[in-house]
Order: sequence, then C-alpha cells, then structure tokens
Amino acid sequence: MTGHLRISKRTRVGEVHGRLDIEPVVVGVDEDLISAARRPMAQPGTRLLAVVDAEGRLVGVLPVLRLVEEIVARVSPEELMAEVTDLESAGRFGREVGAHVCRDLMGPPVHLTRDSTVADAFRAMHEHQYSGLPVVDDQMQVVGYVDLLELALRYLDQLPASSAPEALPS
Amino acid sequence: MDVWLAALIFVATYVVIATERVHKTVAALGGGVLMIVFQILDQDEAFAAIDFNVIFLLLGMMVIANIMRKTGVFQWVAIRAVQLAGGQPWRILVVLCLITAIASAFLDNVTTVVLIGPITLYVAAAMRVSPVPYLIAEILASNIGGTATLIGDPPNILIGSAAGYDFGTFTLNMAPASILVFAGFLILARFMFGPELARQRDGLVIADLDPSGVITDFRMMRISAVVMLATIIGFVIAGPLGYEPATVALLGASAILLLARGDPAEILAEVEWTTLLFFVGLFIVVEGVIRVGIIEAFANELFSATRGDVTLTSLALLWVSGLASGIVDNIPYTATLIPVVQQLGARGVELDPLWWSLALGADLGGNSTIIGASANVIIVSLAARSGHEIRFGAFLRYGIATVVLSLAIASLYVWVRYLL
Repeated sequence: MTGHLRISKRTRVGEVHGRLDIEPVVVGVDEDLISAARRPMAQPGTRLLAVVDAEGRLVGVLPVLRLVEEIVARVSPEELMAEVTDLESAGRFGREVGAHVCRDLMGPPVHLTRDSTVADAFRAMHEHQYSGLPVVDDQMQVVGYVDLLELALRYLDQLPASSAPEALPS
Repeated sequence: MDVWLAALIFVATYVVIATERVHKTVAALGGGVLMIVFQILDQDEAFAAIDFNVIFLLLGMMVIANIMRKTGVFQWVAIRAVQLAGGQPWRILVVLCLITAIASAFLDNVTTVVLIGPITLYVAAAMRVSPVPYLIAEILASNIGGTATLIGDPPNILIGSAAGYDFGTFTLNMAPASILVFAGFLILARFMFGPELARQRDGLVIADLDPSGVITDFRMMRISAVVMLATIIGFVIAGPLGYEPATVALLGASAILLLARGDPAEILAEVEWTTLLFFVGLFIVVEGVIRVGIIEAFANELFSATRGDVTLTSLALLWVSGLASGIVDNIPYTATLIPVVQQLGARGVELDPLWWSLALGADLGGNSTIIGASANVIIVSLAARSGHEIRFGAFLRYGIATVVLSLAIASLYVWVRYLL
C-alpha cells in the first residue's frame, strides 16, 4: 500500500478501505456454492463474501465460514450432524445441507458506505457478528471491503501516537 | 362468590394460554397463585394438589434424554435405518415415520426432532426434493407413537398418575391401539404423500454416510443406552413391585448424572423447567375449580346427558377430546378432564374405557393442526429454520384426514375391547 493515514474513530471509511490490503470478493446471488467457494481461495484474507444481483448491486453477505460448513456438509455431513443437539443447531444444519446457491445461505446486505466512520464499521461488525463488511456506493455497487482484524490492527499499531509518527505502516 | 371467582381465574388462565398473549407457564403459575391469593385454596391445599409423580417423572426423563441426545446415538440409529431403506422415497418415509413413532413412545418431542430432523433434511437435500412431506408425516407419526406408552405424551403421564395405571398396564392397553392407528396412517399416507413421492427419483446414495461419524462420545453412548434400557425395564417391573414411575425415572437420572461425570448444573440447566412449572401451575388452577364444586357440577350434567351410559360417554369423550386437542393445548385440557372422569367414576360409570378414551382422544387429536401438539410446533419450527415453510392450511388437510381416521380406529378399538 502507499501513503500514510492516521486513523481515528471519526475517519471516514472512504479514506481507509483503499489503503487496506484485503480486497472485496464478489459472488453472484444465483451462483453455485461450490463455484462461490473457490473465489476466496484466491483471496485468503477475505472472511465475508459480497453477494450481488445481475446488476452488480449488493443483495446479501455470506461469511466464508458458513460456506466452508456447507461444503463440509456435502463431504462429511456426519461431522455436522454430530453437533446437532438442539432445535437451533438442527435448523442450521438443515439450512446448510439444503443450500445450493448463494441466495440460500446469504444474510441481509449489511454494508458500509464511504461516508461511514471507522467507529460505525466497528459497531456494525460487532452488532452483526461479522469479521468484515463490504463498502458500497450510492447504487449499492461494491467498491471496497473493510476487514475487522486488519482495521483493528492498523488502528492499534498507531496508538502510541506520542512516540510514533502519525503514519500507518503501509 | 368463590365459585364465580374460581371460574373467572380458570377461564382467564386458559384463554391466556390459548391465545399465547403471555407465556403459558407464566399464565398457569399466575392463575395458580391467584387461586391462593383469593383464598379459594390455602397454600397447603395448593401445594398438595401438585402431582409430584408427574413432575419428577418428566424431570427424570428430561435428564436422561438430554444426556443421551448429545452422544449422537439417535443420529446413528436414524442413519442406519435410512441406509437399510435403500434409495426408495416411499420406503424412506415409512422408515422415518417408524423411527419417529417408536422414539416418541419413549422420548420427549424435542429429542425426537433432534433424532429425526437432521437426517430427514439431509436425505431431502441429497435427493434435491422438499423435506416437507417427510416432516409432515413425521409429525403425524410422532403423535400416534406417543399414545403407546405412559411416558409417550404428557396427557398419558397425567392420566396414568391420576388413574394409578403403571407403565405395563398403560402399554398393554394403549400400544395395540397405537399400532393399529399407525398401520391405518401408513395406508392413508400412501394416498396423501404417494403421488408426490412417486415424482421423486429413486436411487439416493447415502451409503457413503458413516454412521459412526455422528457418535461424539462412545463411552457415554453406551452408558446412556444402558441406562435408558434399564429405565424402561424399570418402568415395566416397578408397578408390580409397588414403585411409582417417577421413582424409576429419578433413579435413571441419578445413575446417568453419576456416570456422566459432567457438571450437574450444566446438565440440569437444560431441563425444561418452564414445562415443569407449567404443570405445577395447572395442577393448582384445576384444584381451585374442583374445590368450589365446578367440576362436580359439570360431571353431574355430563352424567345426566349420557344417563351414565358408558359406551356413549366413552365415545363422546374420545371424539370431543380428539377434536378439542387440535385447537387447545391437550395438557390443560387433560388436566381439567381428569377430575371430571373421576367424578363420573364416583357415580358408578366404569372407569377404564373412560380413561383410555380420554388418553386416545387427547393424544391423537393433536394431529389436526400445526398447533395441536408440541411435536407439530417443534417440527414446523425446524422446517422454518431450515428454510422450508409448512403452512397452517397445507398441514390442516393432512392433519384432519389423519385425525378422523385415527379417532375412527380408536373408537372401534375401545368399543371392541372395553364396551362389547
């Protein structure tokens, strides 16, 4: 990455996301889950896929972990079945084994905009229990991705501000 | 004054339970406490009305089932059975229904769903078909299977305890009816689900599934299976030895808690305390209306209407209970009808046919709507959580058909066995 940026909680996401290393991974809403599962292989840092419709608008998000569980359910359903001990886990298992395309597994299109602040990003990811979120423009087109761990580490790295320059490691 | 007050509390409690405006446990406990606050009962009378045989029988079985279901043994049974059924949809449906019915005879409904739900959803997903016909059939089979034993359905526990029937007596009288109704249900299911299953392709391959892969704890699986078996044997021999079923269930629960070596607080936290306290509240509310004479007056009217004819009373009880249980919760319904039956017995009406009619009606009637029994609600909830909706109207046509057939078979059974 190039350039230096001091991140505060009021910093706008639009100023940050382009300077983070992890890029968004976009999948189609009706894309087969096996095909979708291959995409994050090329972007190992991504932990949340942005699901878009035919016009490229964000319509959902899909945590890579859920995708992994679904793939495991096809290969070795016994492992997931063994974890079913209550109604909730039985329902989750049913959803995983019954899913075929991204639409079946995705969650609501939680997102950030360029005008969201870093504080908004932390709050949204904590609230929805996601470890990353896509950044969208006014037309809901995906323009970036903010990874929680990467953002948090960048934020922490600059905390000893009195002894360190105000630059972020790039 | 007491009569009107007790009636008001009783009706208000049942209306709140039926409308689900407040959690049913809160409604029942609230109604019970009001019976004490308004001095319809004093505290000693209220507490004496609680049937601890019912409470501790449920508690003991919940503890055993909760430990057992975490071992993966139920999933193992389900996978093996489906594998034995081969890849033919109709045979898979029959096998799943059979396992559901047998499990429901001995286990609570949540455990049954955890046993049968995942494998059903997996099989449907593997065939790329909707699991809904299978899940609906399992609901119907669950309520039919639950009629078979004393511990199969909460109304049975209430009736068994009130009537003094032991496990063996209960099973000998109810299991044949349950088997006959299940056989009738399978024939009906062929018509109800057959056309849809015929469109599904054969040859599902689940041979790759490794049943042993679902076992999470082999030691606990063996222990819990032995404890469960010993508990069932205990139920059978407890009656002749003079022990109550609750003693057997508590013995089994104590044994499994001892052998599980887990944290008892963690295990006991999973007991359905809301269900147990629901029963506590109901016992007190019903005792209130008994104490002021409402139940006796109702029994008098019923006795006059039927002129004490045991055949007429039994069959009316069976059908009214069957139809009512589809609309109202069959637990408070049964708790209210038990003292009515006892009053009829006090007037000389033969009791056995009345008890079996009440049990069959209350259990089988739960099949008519998706809110008719806890198995229905749980499986519908499981379907929804896994992305499949079972609509009220869609279920109703299967439910009504099954209930009418079930009650007809049950009527014939009661008539031939007890009334001829």
